[in-house]
Amino acid sequence: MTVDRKDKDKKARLLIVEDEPALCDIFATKLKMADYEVICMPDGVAGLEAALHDQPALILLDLIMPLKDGFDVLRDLKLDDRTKDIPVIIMSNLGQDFEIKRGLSLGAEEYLVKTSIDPAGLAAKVGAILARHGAGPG
Amino acid sequence: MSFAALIGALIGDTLVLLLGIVIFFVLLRELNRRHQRHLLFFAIAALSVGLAFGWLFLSQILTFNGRSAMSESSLVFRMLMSIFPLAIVCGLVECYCAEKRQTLWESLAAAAALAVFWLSRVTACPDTLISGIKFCGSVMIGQSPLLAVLLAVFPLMIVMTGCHRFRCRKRPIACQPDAVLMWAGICGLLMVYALGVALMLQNAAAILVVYLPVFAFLALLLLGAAAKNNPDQSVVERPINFVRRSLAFKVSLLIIVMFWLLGLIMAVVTTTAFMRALSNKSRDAIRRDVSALADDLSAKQELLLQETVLAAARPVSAADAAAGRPDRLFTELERAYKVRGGRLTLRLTDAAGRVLFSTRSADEIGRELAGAGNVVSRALGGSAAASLERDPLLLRTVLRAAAPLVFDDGSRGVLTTATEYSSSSLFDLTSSERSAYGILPEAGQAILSAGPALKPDDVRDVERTASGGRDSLSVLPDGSIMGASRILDTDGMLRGYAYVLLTAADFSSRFMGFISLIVLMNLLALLIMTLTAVAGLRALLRPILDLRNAARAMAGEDLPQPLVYESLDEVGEMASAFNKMGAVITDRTARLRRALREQMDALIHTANGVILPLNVLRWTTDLLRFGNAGRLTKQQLELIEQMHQTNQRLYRMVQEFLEAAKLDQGKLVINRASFPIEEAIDQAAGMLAIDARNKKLELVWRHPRQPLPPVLGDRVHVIQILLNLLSNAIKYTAEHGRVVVNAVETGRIAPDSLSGRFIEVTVSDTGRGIPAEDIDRIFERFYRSPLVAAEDIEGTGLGLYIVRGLVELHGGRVWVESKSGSGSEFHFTLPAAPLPAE
Repeated sequence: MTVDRKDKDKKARLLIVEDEPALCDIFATKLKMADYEVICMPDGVAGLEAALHDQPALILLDLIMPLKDGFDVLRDLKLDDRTKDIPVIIMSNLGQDFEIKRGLSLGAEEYLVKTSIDPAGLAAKVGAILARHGAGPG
Repeated sequence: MSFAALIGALIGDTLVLLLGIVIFFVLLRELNRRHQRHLLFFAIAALSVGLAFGWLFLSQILTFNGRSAMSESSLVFRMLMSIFPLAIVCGLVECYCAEKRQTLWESLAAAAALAVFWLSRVTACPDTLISGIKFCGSVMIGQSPLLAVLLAVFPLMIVMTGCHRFRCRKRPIACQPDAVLMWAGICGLLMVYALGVALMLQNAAAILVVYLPVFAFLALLLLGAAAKNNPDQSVVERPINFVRRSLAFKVSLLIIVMFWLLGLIMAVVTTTAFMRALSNKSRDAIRRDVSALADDLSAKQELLLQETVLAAARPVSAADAAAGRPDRLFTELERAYKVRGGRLTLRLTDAAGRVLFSTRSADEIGRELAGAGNVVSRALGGSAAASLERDPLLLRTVLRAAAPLVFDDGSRGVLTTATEYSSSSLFDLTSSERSAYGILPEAGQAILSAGPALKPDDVRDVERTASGGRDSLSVLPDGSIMGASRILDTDGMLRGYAYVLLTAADFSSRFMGFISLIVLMNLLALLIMTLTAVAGLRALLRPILDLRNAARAMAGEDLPQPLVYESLDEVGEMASAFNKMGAVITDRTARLRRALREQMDALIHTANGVILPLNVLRWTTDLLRFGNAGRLTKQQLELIEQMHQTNQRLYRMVQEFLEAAKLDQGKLVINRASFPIEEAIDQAAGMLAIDARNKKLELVWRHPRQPLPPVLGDRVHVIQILLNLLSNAIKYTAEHGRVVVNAVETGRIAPDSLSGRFIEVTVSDTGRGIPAEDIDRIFERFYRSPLVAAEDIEGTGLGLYIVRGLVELHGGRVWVESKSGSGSEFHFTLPAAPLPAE
């Protein structure tokens, strides 16, 4: 678990829930370069816990994870008042139509299929979503 | 005449009659049982053929007894034979046509039959002799319009059934009866063909052959038609089951066959004996008649000669003779002859041959008197002589005698006497065993004859037969029996032959009378025996039938009903044992059902009670999970998460159980709405996507290219159906397998039934498959294959039960196709929403 806390007041905080450390690192690095504060969590349980306590402005969520899968995490996030308004971007290997529909129907803002994610463009996408949702978490 | 052919024709007639009657009763029984009108028509057809041939047979007896029944019989025969195609056509119409067309076709058939009848009435043909059996020609050949109709009916039948077969090739199960009907049509054609050939050949053996296709035709028609309209699926699949189905039917059939075989043997034996006796009797009578004929003629000749000689010995005055007054002489002679019949002529001739006196003119007497070498010239030579003569001019037969005479003046003369005869006055034959008889002179035509004239060949036969001695008989090549004897003159010269002929036709018609009587008696006895046996069997087998019905009812869901049959025999014992068994089963079933219901109620009660604690548990874990009760450590969180997930699973299992119970009690409410099935599949597949991925399975949802029409149903329940099927497929498919779901629009609710607009969803997997012994039970409540249970795969055994309940509640069907080891395919159909009105 890596927790970076810099310029708490200025930077928007992002939560990445991803069990693959390499991917986690890449995304974290790219997003940090775009001047975001990034928290990485390796499984669903830790991810949910972090979302509840750290109040990220946006969550990047993997689906296939140990302990608790991404859909469960997403459902739980939407159940709790503290987290239900946090935009969620799903990043997953599951790319079939019905899988994407499932993710979006549970309340995900965006569904990114991992094979077609461009790490460089990720920051722009995150920025756009954050802009759409106003200043940040309420 | 061929004896075998005769017997054969009779037996054939009898068989067809019998077959017709038996089929009639069998069909009536089926009709009573199944209420299918076509059976009635076929019964009528069978009966009309049977009766027609029976009547033909009966008419032969009537003809023999001297009353010509043929014109009457042909009327009845034609009427009956016209009913035959009518009934066949109507039966086929009943088999094939929809309600509306039936009346039209049936009235057309009736009109055609009527036309056939009247056409055959006006067609007249001469009587036909078929191997010695006399058939009224118009009976057989006059049926040509009928034959034409029959010829049209059978190919039509073949075409109709052929079309049906072609149309139902997709569903071959219904084709068996059509195949049988087609064969019936072919046999019908053969029957008509054989009948035609038999008529042309005029051969009874060929007629016999006709009976085979008749037999086959009726039997096949019966089988095919019964199977075609039979609601019993086993009969439709295998028409022969119609015969196999009933024990009583089989036993009756056996008895009938045995009785009739015995009857036929008896008939053949008796007729053979009769034939021999009759033949001997006829031969004796012919012998008697021949000798009577010959002796009678000789005696008459002798008598006339004696009387003539006696008369000539009396003194006759030459003057009286010349004056034409030999009255005294003539009166005496006439008195002597009076009693013998015939017309007496008396004549006196002088030595030069001039007629001195004659009671009748020369023209009346005949020309022979004047010729040389006759009795007169022989008497002039000094010896009395008699002769039998035929007067070719006046066509009379004359018995003549002449004796030398000495007049009182010493001159010589001749007294000639002659009597004329007709056949009836000459012969007094007592027996009737003859077709023709007569006297044949040494050469030339018969001089006295009755019956048909002899042909030149026959004349030679007479001579040949007579040369064999006094009692010799000969059988002519055509089967006629002939007796003949020589007739010798008073001086030992051969003067001619007496003959008696009994033609084959007459003999056979006499024989026919006897045989008809025997066979008719035989037939009546057999009919009575058969009916008694069948009726008795039915009564005897009824308790078995009741037992079968009761057992069948018990095999179903019904509770056994007690049988009422009290007897000391085996069946009675069986019935009482069955009743005891039934009582035990009823009692046990009731107890079991009660216990099961109580258990179920208790389970439902418990399940309902479990819901609240489960919810409390869920809320508690939620408080902990979401950190509302303070921040937990990572390990605590993981444990709580596990608890949460287990709780969820438990909750789902209890819900599943309660849903099954609701389905069971009919309390499940369905809120129908139309929605695209694709959405439901999207959701269900999405919910199981991660499970599939975790098991390294490929879950594929094959979207249809065009959007499907929406289904009519309850979205929540349809998703439930899909979830159950998909999760089963995932559960029972090994790693790296594949689960595929797809949906299509279909016209049938299930492969072999009802049509309509349906959406069929298929969930197939590459899993373990379902063993054949389990496939019928997997939709049952709580059923889990022993193999699965042994492997400890999690499951309640309710998933598929709920699937079936929900699908059927929606008005669809669910079925499975699977082979053990090679994956399963679950299909279910849901009704498509009705099209919006345009």
